[in-house]
Amino acid sequence: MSYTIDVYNGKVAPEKHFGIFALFVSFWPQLVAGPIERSGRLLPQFREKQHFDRQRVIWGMNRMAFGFFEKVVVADRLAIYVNEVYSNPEGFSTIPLILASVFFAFQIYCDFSGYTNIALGAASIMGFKLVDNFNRPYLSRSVGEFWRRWHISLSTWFRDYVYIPLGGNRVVGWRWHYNLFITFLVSGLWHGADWTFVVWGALHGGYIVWEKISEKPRQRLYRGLSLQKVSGLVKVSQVLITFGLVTIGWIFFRADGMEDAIAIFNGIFKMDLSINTSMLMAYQGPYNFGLSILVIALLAFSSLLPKDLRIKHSLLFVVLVTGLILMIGKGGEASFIYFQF
Amino acid sequence: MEERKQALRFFSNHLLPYLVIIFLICLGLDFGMRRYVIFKTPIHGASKIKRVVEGTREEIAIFGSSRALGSYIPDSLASSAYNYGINGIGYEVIDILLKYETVRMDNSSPIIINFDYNMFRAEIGDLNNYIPHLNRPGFRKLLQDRNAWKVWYRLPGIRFFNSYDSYFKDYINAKVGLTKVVSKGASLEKNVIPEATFLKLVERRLKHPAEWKVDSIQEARLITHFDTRPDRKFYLVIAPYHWSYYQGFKGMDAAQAWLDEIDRRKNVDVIKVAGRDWPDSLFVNTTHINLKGAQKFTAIVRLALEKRNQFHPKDVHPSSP
Repeated sequence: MSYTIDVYNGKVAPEKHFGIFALFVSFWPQLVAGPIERSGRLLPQFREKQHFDRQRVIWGMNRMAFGFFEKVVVADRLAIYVNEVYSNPEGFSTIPLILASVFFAFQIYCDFSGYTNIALGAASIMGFKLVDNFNRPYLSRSVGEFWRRWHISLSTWFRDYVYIPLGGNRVVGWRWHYNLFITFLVSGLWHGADWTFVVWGALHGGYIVWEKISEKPRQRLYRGLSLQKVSGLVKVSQVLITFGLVTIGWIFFRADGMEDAIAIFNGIFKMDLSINTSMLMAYQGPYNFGLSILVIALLAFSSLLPKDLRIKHSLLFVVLVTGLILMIGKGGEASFIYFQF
Repeated sequence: MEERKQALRFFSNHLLPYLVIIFLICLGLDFGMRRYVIFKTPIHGASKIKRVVEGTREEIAIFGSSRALGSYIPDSLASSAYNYGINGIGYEVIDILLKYETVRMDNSSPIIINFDYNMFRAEIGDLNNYIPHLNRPGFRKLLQDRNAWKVWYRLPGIRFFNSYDSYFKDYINAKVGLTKVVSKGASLEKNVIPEATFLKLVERRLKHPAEWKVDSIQEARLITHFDTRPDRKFYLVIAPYHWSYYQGFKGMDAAQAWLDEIDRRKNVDVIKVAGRDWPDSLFVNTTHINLKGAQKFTAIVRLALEKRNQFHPKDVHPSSP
């Protein structure tokens, strides 16, 4: 769609070579779920002659291996707990409901980021460079920052093809906020024709508008309370609050309809803190529960790796990741969540 | 030329060492899993199959599905009893185990088969029970008949991909016993299900009543075992079901007639512990009992066996886990 709009607006020259155009629309690493690659970036690469580059292939392998790790080891593991709880939210007390929602936040991230890394790695092995789609989004300190780090190619797509055509921020205050809100609402609808996605989009639109409106009072409060003295603590709190807000949004995103979403919120706010070990583990046993915690810890540990995964000891890295996939990976036919959108 | 050198260097310094190391890891994993995990987990089906196949013990074997697994406490039944119940299996798998058991002429102990009203369903449960035994007669065919046979089941290490969960889950349950009590092959649920959750299960059961179905081929195979070993006593024991299971059950009269017919055989006894009047607190769901239920049920079975003089003098007084 962006190609058609760009050609219509005269931003990109129409591709005359049928083979290159066909390759652009059917380039498999980004065919199904993105990253949404712009024609201006990808088409010129198809005209370049490709050479074997050892470092690029090794880097691509690292990226693919890590992508499989995110999908098979983290996302599909967490899915077991999440699916069990979300398929019968009324049967669980507050703690499993909160845990399942937090697990889903990591599940959806690893599912999609995993796919993106596999796509980027495969493209890199073939000699093509695709756009990075994630930049450690759960370390964001505001929802606005989250959207600059999450599904970057889709966020920029909505910015360029919905938000800016609506007038962007070059309008009066209320209209700017309206543009922001509508952009997120449309983004919600893009994910699916269900009220849960509409609410999810509206919720994020609301977060962003609130952040813009409250920016100055918050800064005054920050200076007034001399919070700059404990800036580290403030940063950690901001990251946690942002993660909490995003996770609340994910409840709508994951729930099987509005009724279930409401049941989950009811269950959480009921504050039924009774602990039953079987229920706490979503009736999946201590092994699955322990591994769910372990894979989140491994994911957190992986944030110490370089962002682009250009690792010095790449052979050791790929062997370790393959070993983890073999040992604690989940096989089966779990498709990628974003393939449905 | 430079490109070819780079490709060769990539192959020799990266790809080849990677493949060799992964192959070695796979071999080590395969050996370690079999030796230290799978066959050291008495409640896992794979370990039970090994015990039946290689068994030389004189013991009261208890066969069946998860209903057997979670209902019989061998220690409370007899010192020589062992629970071979395997999750999710139908008669087809029990039949293979019975073949291995009845062929041993040195063993004349009674055999307990836990009877399920849906025992003749075509289900074999978790494939991981069979992966370590695919070179033994019966098990590969079982998978092939269901198009569940995969070529990589032959590859060391790779064959257990996606199976570690199944093995480690039971291994940890057996070692830690956080939610289950484990005793000579039995795996007994400790926790009592919350009332609201149980009521939902009852509601679901009432909406979807069970049905009696008999498969003539499987039935013939079962009878063949009775006939092959007239010197051994077979007990077809019905572990309790929740009252809701009987509500609306289709074909109860036919099922009862079938059981009566079997009961008339000389070396077969049917012991029915219906459980209709048992309280919800003794159940995990409408078809399975929990630890307390298992204690009550095993005591009843023991009494029934005692009445029939089925215990060897060496069977000491039962103890409960």
